[in-house]
Amino acid sequence: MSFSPAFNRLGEGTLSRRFNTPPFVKGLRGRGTRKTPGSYGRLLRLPGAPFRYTGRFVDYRILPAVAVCAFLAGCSRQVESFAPPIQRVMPALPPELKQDDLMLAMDDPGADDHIVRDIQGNIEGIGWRWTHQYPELRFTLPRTKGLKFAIDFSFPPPNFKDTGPVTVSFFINGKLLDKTRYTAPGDKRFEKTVPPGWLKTGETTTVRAEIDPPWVAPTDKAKLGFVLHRVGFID
Amino acid sequence: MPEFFKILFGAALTVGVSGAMGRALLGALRLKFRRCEEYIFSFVAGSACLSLTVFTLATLHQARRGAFLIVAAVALAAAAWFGGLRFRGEPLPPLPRYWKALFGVPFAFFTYLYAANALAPEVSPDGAAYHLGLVSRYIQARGFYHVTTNMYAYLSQGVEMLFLYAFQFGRHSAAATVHFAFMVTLPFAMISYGRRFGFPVAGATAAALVFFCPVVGFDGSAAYIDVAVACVLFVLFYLLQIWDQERAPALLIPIGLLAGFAYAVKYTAFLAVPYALGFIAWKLRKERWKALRPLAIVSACALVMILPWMIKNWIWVDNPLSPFFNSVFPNKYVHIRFEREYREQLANWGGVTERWRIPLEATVKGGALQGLLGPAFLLAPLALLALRRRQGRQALLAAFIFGLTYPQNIGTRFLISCLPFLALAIALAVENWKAVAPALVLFHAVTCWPTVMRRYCDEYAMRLSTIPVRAALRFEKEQDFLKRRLGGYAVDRMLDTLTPPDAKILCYSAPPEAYTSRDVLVSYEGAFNQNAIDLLGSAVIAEWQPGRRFTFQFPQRRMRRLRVVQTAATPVENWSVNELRIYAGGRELPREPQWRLSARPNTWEVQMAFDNNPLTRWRSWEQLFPGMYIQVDFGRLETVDRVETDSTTDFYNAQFQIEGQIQADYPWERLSGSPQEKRIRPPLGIRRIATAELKWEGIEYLLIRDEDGVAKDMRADPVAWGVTLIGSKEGSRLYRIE
Repeated sequence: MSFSPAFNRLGEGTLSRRFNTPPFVKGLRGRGTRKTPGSYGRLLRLPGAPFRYTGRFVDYRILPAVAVCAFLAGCSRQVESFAPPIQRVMPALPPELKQDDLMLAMDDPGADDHIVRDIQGNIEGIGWRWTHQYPELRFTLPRTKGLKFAIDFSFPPPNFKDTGPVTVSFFINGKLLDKTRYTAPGDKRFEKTVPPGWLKTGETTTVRAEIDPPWVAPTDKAKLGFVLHRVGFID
Repeated sequence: MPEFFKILFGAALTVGVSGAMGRALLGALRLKFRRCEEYIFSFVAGSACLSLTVFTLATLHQARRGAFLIVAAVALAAAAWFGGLRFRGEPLPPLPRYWKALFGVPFAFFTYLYAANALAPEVSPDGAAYHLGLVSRYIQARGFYHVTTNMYAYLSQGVEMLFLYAFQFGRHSAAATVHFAFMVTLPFAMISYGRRFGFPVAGATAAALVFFCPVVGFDGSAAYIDVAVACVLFVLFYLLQIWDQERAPALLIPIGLLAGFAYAVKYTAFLAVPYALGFIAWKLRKERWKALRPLAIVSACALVMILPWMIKNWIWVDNPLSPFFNSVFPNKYVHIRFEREYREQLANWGGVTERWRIPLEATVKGGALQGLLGPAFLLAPLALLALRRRQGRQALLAAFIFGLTYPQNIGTRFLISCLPFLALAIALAVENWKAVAPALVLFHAVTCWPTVMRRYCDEYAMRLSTIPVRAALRFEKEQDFLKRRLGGYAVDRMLDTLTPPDAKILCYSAPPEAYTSRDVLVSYEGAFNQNAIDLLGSAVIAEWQPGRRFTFQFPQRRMRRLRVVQTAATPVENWSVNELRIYAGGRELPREPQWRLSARPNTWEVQMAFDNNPLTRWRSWEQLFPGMYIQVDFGRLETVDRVETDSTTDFYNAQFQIEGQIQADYPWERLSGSPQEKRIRPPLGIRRIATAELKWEGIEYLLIRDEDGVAKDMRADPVAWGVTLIGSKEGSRLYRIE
């Protein structure tokens, strides 16, 4: 039998130790230390790794880690759920509040009856209408004390880009209630208490707005004011 | 006058028992210090022990006089047994005589100023509001009780436990005087440190810089906690330096306890723990694994002080770090959005958004940042010269570490924790320039005296401006002084007179809660309070009212679960749903008890969208993100073909779809895309609906200040609100909900 020179240099004892060591264990050997087969099995429970069940097999040092894992396994982000709550019954209202709401939405069935001029007839989107430059509406008020004029409207950004800041004057029965300058587009709310002397019960109360400048449609040159959602009076 | 002695007794007993406990601890550990150090370390280490003891008693509902007196007796006996009641350590090298006078004379003046204010009735904003507000409630309850409507109760309250002990005997002023004791201890600790490590002049200079500081004086003579934090941190630093010199293993125990106590006193001082561990690890870096034992000892001792607070919060409010980190520990007590806004507010306190304004605001003006350090601290850059010396580097490192949390809250008070180290570094830098250190001390003393200070600082800078000796000695009646000096005291009296003891009172901003026994729910202090205030506001703010209806129509299906999913992302808006109704063939499905409702996020408030009250609303309380939903599990298959949600008009960019699930493990199916949107009228009598709901939630009284949003409207028409005005003081009106 002949061996290569390199193989010859290993010597017989070295050869036997090398070939008896399981291949997966080689990389685990510490420098200059000898491990028993059982200790490898403890580190890596790979198929074929020999190990013994001894007192040392159970490594108590890992118990805290196991305990922490077990503890954290109890944590979850499950969303809590609930039964429907007791259904609320709305409180009884005092007599003075039991009257019709004095706000008029543009998609209310009777809205057209309130429009005097300069508000488009068709309802758009979620229930709004375009106004022209001098929109006017009429109301018949059941009471006058402590009422505020209120209006929800908006300036669409594309139109506002053309017009720039817009000044709106609000009139009640022809008297100037207030004049406000709007410098940004978007939803607006105007509220102001109306002097009681300006209002009368049982008679027609007119509300009017003047929008300056209006937006001029490039196609038909129609002058549009703002998008009107709701207008009327609140307590 | 007897009141005065009660106050002195309460404060002296607390300080004495702290000292005794510390003496017993240090004696049991056989630690030897120099004489002056023995007093300082015994008091500060003992205060940690007393705080923990009071925490335990408060948990057991035994926070009563008898129990506290037993603790005092046991502490004294333990001190006598372990350490002896006399301090026998070797004295430290003395301070030069010239410096004794230079420091001592102004120190006496400032101590007089501070002591008079500490002993006078408590009028500080936070002290009279929540530091002692909570303490007085713990006294009533004889310990902790489940607070769900006050986020300040979730903060760690290590010093408040000492206040609780003192309050039991001497009430408010005794608590403030305990804090004053920390303030007096701090400069002596600094001088003592300088004397031990060979730079007594620098120690005295630094002590003067800190002690004469206006914001330190204001804070330390009130029932605040910041000066106590600074004192604890400085003693921790001191002990670490001694440990570095002597390497006595037993020192690690007080080091660990104080590091943990720093967290227990104030969240922002949590850095004491990594600082102590990092210091020890660095010093033992060459010993590798052997360093683990000291680190483990320090960590364990720190945890003894920290864990009680975390566990209390975890059990009661589902978040060990409440009121912060609510996105990590979601809970129903603090809204995530509130935390974000609160942090932003603290980080830009007083509207100081430009950081370059801070140095002048914090040192000279003091108006925007609520207090000033004194013009001498404009020399703070000189501290960098201390880098030349080892002790200077140590001081600057500590100043840097304990100052790391400052950007989170830029109030001047939040610089106090790193102030001793900064002052020490400045003092070390100027120590060798002959006349500079004395000149600096004199300049600082003069410029920080109230009558001088008012010539240059902002009119509204938080500072001490008077020496209320008559009030301190109780020659002036406490009530008279409080009426004169404490805004809202008359309101407290009104609440106690006109409401029953178990009354819940909702308000936008708090009166000084330490002087009323009633349960005051302040608008921002908890999720429940925020919802209540939201409800009140929605009665007058059109955008918060249910002004539109989203209708999702889809082919009829049988489903077990159904949910409305929000799919858009935007950083500003929140989603809200006032009512969610489900229909089949034009008929609304009745809300059955077996239904299970949930939402993501903020599932705890989902019932508000199903309570048949058009005004209450489930809110996401988080900015819009895809995947938010409200879900209904019918508990069985149900036929559905339409879903309607009523919402407010304060969000614009949300996108919705309806998803359904046939069984629990089946995939979710998209049933409907974008809904039809329609404007709707808010319900009639909306104000009365709001107050009726508040009453349903147990709130029977409203305290409204004239500048609050609903004040004018409620005053004009109480009938519409369903309330009756029952009292009015100092621009605050008390209404009873009928």
